[in-house]
Amino acid sequence: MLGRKEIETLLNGLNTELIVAFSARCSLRILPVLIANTEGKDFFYWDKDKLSQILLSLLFALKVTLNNSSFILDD
Amino acid sequence: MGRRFYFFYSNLFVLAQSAEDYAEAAEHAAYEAFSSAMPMAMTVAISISDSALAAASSDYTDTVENAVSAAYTAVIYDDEKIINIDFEQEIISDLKTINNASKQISATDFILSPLWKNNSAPEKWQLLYHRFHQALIDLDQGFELWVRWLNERLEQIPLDSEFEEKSLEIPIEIKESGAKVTNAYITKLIKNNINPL
Repeated sequence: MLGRKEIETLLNGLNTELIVAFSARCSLRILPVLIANTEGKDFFYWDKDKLSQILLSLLFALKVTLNNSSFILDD
Repeated sequence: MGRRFYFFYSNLFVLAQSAEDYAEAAEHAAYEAFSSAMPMAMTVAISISDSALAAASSDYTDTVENAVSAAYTAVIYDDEKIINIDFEQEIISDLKTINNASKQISATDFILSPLWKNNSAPEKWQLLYHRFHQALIDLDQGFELWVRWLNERLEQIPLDSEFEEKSLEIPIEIKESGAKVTNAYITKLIKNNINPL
């Protein structure tokens, strides 16, 4: 299994934009896993009253990651 | 960056004005699931906030550390077969791509390259992806715009940096009014070519 140290070694020395882009791709892949559970009830693990705001916070975090630098249109 | 534990929920998201604020708000949100019997949701949320912290940090070491944490979460779940999606191979493939000395890739080309090998996501992931989107829509809080936004990312459509920046500058009073109002505001930004009126 890929270890933390190995990932760190492979990221160290790369430019920040590439590291953030790598991170953004990890987030895009893992985001839908938020829905995975064995209870059959979506998002049951979060307070119903706070759920929309929590999801919005996470989606904005993804937006921040992707919007980090000029790598979107201005590169 | 040290891990912080939150015992009380305060709405950092509403007050967020910078990338770092939004990253911290997401980290905060992640810990909302801490007391539940579903640590996976919390860990996934932390991974997403770690990515944002990597992006928001001005310190190179912090950026690397947070990016490592974000990636390692996916590897762990692959290894434990909880969801049985081979994230690890995709991460290894990404690491090879960005470390290929003979063919250096720009961040733009990398972010806009297919998220999955052969441009084909695993079937299990696709099921989760569609279920996640449907669950967002079912909340009836205007999350349809986020479904479209996520689909565009998967289709490697470049982001409009002007719109993205504007959508991070939502007034506090809008965010304070809840997700439905916030999403309606962003939808207006899109419809009116980034002017919310």
